[in-house]
Amino acid sequence: MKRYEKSLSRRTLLRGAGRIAIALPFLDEMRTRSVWAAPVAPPVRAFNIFLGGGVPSLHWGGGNTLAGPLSPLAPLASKMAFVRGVEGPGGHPAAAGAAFTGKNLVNDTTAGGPSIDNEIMRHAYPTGKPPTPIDVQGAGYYYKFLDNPSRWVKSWDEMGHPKGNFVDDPKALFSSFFGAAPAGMPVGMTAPAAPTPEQKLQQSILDSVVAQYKFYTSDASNLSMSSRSKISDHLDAVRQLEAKLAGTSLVSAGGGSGKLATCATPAAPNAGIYVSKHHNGGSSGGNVVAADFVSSFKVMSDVFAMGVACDLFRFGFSVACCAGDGLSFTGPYNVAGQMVDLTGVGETHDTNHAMGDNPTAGAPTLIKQGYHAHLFLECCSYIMQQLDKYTDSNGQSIFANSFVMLGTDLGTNHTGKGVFYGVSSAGGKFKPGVYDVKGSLLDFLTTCKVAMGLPGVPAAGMTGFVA
Amino acid sequence: MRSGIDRTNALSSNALRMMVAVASLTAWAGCTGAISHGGGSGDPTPGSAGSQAGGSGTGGGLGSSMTGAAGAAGAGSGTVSSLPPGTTMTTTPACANAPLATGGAYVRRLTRWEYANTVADLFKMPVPTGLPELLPADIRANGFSNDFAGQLVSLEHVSAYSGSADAVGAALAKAPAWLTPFATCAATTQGTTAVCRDQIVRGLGLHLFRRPATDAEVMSFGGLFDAAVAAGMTTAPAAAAVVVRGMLQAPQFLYRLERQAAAPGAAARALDNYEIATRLSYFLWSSAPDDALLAAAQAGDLTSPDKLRAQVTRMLTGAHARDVIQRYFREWLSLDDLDDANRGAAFTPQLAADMKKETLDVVGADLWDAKHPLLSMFTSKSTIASPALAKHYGLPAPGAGGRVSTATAPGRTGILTHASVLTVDGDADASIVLRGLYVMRKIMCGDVPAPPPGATSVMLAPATASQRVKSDARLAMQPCQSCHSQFDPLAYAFEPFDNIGALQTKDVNNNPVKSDGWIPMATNVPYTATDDYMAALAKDPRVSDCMAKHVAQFAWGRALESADACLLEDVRGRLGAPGTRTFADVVTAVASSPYFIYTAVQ
Repeated sequence: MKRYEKSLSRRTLLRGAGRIAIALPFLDEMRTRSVWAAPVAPPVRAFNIFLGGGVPSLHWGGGNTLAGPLSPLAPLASKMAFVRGVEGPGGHPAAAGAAFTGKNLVNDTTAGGPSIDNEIMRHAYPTGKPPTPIDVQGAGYYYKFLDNPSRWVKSWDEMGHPKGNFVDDPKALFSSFFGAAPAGMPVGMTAPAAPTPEQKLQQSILDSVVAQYKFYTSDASNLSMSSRSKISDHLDAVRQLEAKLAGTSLVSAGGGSGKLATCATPAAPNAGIYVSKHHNGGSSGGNVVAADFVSSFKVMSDVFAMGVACDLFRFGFSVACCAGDGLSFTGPYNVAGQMVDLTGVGETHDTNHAMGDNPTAGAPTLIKQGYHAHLFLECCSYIMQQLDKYTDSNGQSIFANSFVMLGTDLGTNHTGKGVFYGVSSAGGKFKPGVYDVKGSLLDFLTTCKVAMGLPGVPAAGMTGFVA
Repeated sequence: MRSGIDRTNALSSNALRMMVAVASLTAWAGCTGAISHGGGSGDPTPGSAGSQAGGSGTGGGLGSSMTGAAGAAGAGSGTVSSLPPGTTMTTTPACANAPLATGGAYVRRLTRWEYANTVADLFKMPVPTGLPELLPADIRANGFSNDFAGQLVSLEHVSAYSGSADAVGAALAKAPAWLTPFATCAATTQGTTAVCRDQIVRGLGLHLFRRPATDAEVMSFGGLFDAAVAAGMTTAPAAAAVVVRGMLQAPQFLYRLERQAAAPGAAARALDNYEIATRLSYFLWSSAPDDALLAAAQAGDLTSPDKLRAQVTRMLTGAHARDVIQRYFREWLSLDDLDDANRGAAFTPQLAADMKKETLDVVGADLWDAKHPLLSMFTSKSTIASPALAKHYGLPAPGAGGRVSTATAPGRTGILTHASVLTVDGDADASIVLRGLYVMRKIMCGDVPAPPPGATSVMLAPATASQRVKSDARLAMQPCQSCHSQFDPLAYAFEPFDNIGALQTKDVNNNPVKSDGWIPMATNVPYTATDDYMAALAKDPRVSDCMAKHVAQFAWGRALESADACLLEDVRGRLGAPGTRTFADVVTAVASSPYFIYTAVQ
């Protein structure tokens, strides 16, 4: 069985895929040895799911129901612990930057520490990196305030610096994962068109480029660990580019060892897909057709979840909208069963303020219902449900096995009080339900980390949702 | 097969060269990884990584292997006390044992602007049309785009680098003579021979990697050259353009790499000559070292304080330095926020462009060309405006070159009363809070904690009250008072200006406006009007210190922290009286500091 002692390298396969059709037996050679040692425990994964603007307590509904703007979360009611009453720092940049670290920002670019996904990653993988092509994948519509990345960055490394491969274009996300593979085709079976001379030249160029990056991520480079980590992130992106230019799939080029049998190419985003734009603080995010935003986000979520199923990455985040953004949604939208026209209602940020500051003083009913929270939660819920669609090696879903945290920046009256959070069962570590807690965001995150096996002391008043 | 496309042959050639490089240098690098032949693909393996280091068997790593390149001032423990005898330092004895580099060991990626400048300068061509826009916009971490903390890398970046490299390659293909300055042999019929190929790669490597290429790099990129020839690029310029496409995507080009390992126990490491040249050129020019600077590096001159200073003086006389100071002000004052501001019908894109141009023109003409003292930026009664902007200010039509006096315009004094700043420093409401924070953070380098939960929703005064009345309410009530008293008064002088910098006697709610206030200090400094305020600001030691601190931050590409106190003290000590300092003086002081030529180690 010597042939299985060493898997084919991703680059070797990538190169081969440019010349020949790949037959099924060849797929066996792609598998690493660990895949053959069944049954295997599902890999450790963690994802941060963020919505900007918060879910004010005004809209939590009575009792433990997930009604009104929270209704998109209902399908996950039996699968998540929803936590109400967390005390965050308040203020969009500060609160968004602390949402998954629990610590105050050093400045608008540097978090007070690593985010919880990063801590789980470094705890679970001795090298500090998962054995997947991408360390951390971000996907969503995070309007980039160039002066305030804390508003849209949702994964921070051990230095508190932004971490992740950020993509806000569903088409780009798809092509980087799946190349030009047709929908439904099992990944790895595609036969890309014969490469053009220019494509061959591009491959030669990237061969040389990759060799340089490999050196600078090695011990011989004389660079510090943090510097090498930056270069390593760049190398990961170059590898994605390789797959993209080759018109093949990052999966077929050698995804992680945890690839599921259901890994297949999803439907490619169409040409009319919505892509967010970048802007700076103090400006408007522009008009967006609500239906386009939601449908495009769902397409991106499909690709994201399949990327997890194909084990392209085990850590990542999604941003339905960055903190404090001013999007003006237009067109019809179904808010908790009520179809309303969002045209002219106003920017998400301003309506959130109006709702929080003075919810009964003439604000339209629609605003009081928190349409934006509903819309963003619909997006967040969808991506989590997509993760719930795939069955892991232990018979549970990816969502059930993974640590998935739903978080936001603000709570009651547009403040840091009473912030709404959610966490998946993470392999039975958290109890589904709705819980009222008292304590700081740091207490909450510390409690979650301890439940995930990291060192620390759970906070009193924060343990009800821990199994 | 040179005229055809023979991927196998091309890669085999590349593979062979890779393997030779691996075999020759792995032993030096101490790598123990297996050397895999990669199924004949020429795929470099983990074990081959060490092949890129040092070159020439000197073990220097990262380009420190060149003759004359080694050595730097103050090798040893990396503290002030370890500097060579005679080194002039202005720090107090308390700093003697402090490290000469703080802030951790980090790498900086070229910004979008630096990338475009570098390409244009290296290949002596205009920036290819659309090239800067190909690259993702840079995050302005801590106010500046060259701050390493915000330098994310994603597929978007890497795709853009690939596309940019292709665009540059295509531009070079239209100018066959481009290669001759890098390798004289390229103009001969022997351009694709092995000897000339290596000369070409070394020539390109010196300029694109900003240091001599190592043997391993020559081997690797020489393989790419051969692959290009095999693919039908039968002339040296055509094949070399492919090498350029590769080098432009390599970490040695995209990142400013400095060796971050040091002798055991050392607190910091002295940079070698090429590393100093690179720091200097990206600080002063936002571009790569030119031939003269590279020659100085090769001669080992840059570890001599006098010769380093001479290079600084030379470099500050060029057009590049003027561009950089304008870029510096553009980022420091957040002038690019004008591009996205939304302030109603009167705020047209043309007016916004005129506003930005005014500030940059004044910076270029007054602070750089005319060498006015830096602090005069706050008190100047002269500006350079378009006719539309002059009208916006209520000034007469400007004279030649747009120069116009503001002596007759009450309060229109200095750069902080430019419409550009008065637009980006606040919001649509011309908020005193935001304007005060702008002055506190950007002009005085101060800060306050984020507001407590709920603070932003507290209404202390009617919504239609003036900004001043609202501020008075904040200052009369705790806990608001403790923070707002530190910065609200810094913006009182701007109340006579609306949200796009036009003069107003009443605000949008018809409330009268005032301009008196005070600068918060241990003993507050009162002012009666905007002109007084600007004069007082220019005399505030926090302001002059802050000017130097921001320039140092720009030079180092990171936020400065309390651990940098000795660094800042040394820079300040190299400067004359605050009122006499020019921008060039501050830049020179930063570049002349021994701290500038040290790097942190892991």
